[in-house]
Amino acid sequence: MTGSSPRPQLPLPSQVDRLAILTFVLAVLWLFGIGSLLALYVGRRSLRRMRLQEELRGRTVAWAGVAVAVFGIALGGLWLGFSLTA
Amino acid sequence: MKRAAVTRGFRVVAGVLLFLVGTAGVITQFGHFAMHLYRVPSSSMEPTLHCARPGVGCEGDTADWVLVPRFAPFWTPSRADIVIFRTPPETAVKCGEGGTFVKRLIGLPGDTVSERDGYISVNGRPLKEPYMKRSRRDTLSGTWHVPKGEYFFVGDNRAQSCASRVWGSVPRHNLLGPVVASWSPLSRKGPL
Repeated sequence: MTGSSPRPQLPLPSQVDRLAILTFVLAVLWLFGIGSLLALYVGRRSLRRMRLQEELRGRTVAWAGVAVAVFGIALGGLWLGFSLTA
Repeated sequence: MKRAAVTRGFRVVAGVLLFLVGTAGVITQFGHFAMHLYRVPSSSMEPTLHCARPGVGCEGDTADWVLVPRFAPFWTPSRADIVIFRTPPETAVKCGEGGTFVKRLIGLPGDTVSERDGYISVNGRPLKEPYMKRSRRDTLSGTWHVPKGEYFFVGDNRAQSCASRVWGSVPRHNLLGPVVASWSPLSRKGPL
């Protein structure tokens, strides 16, 4: 065994980050803006994790989730404003 | 290089599609659980709210869609509010149609509403109606007492409006909520 050549390093199989999917799901769930806020938090963590671990995929899903969350927060604010000031 | 560009293009398209699907989902929930959206069907609230031509008396190219919050915990019906409500059964008999109406609230429970030549007084005092155009008034005269727990409605287009002056007042539980904004068309979007 001694002197044998080292095993070739195989690239780790890439996988979709579950937090990215969770970001999108929470953003679409909306829940009067609460889902959107949670999506922003989870999305931030997901994007940071994907930056550190390059084998992780799902940036498109995460960014789409973040964009939907921003839209959801705007609608949530509109709803809250109209409901409380009506 | 070319492959990377194709992949990036694919990602952008996928992202935009995901965004569109997601926003459609959020808007659906907004319209279902948070706010009611109502289309203005008749000219009774012209020129404040438009219905679509060629309807009788309508001034809009398209009908206005208005927003009504499903949940308005601090709302107490006030004079001059524009309100969506379910009509009492008499409406269908006297106006030929009933269902969900949008009108302006002018009489609160216990009020006495009187009208002389199209000018309205509440409890003996002339009602200030900055939203009314002189040409929209009719020449009706009469006096109505609003029972406790009920509300009295009229349209801003008095001559074209079949409302409380014809079929009486509306119980509180029939009120669905205040109109807070116009949602569509884009040119008329904004709070009311």
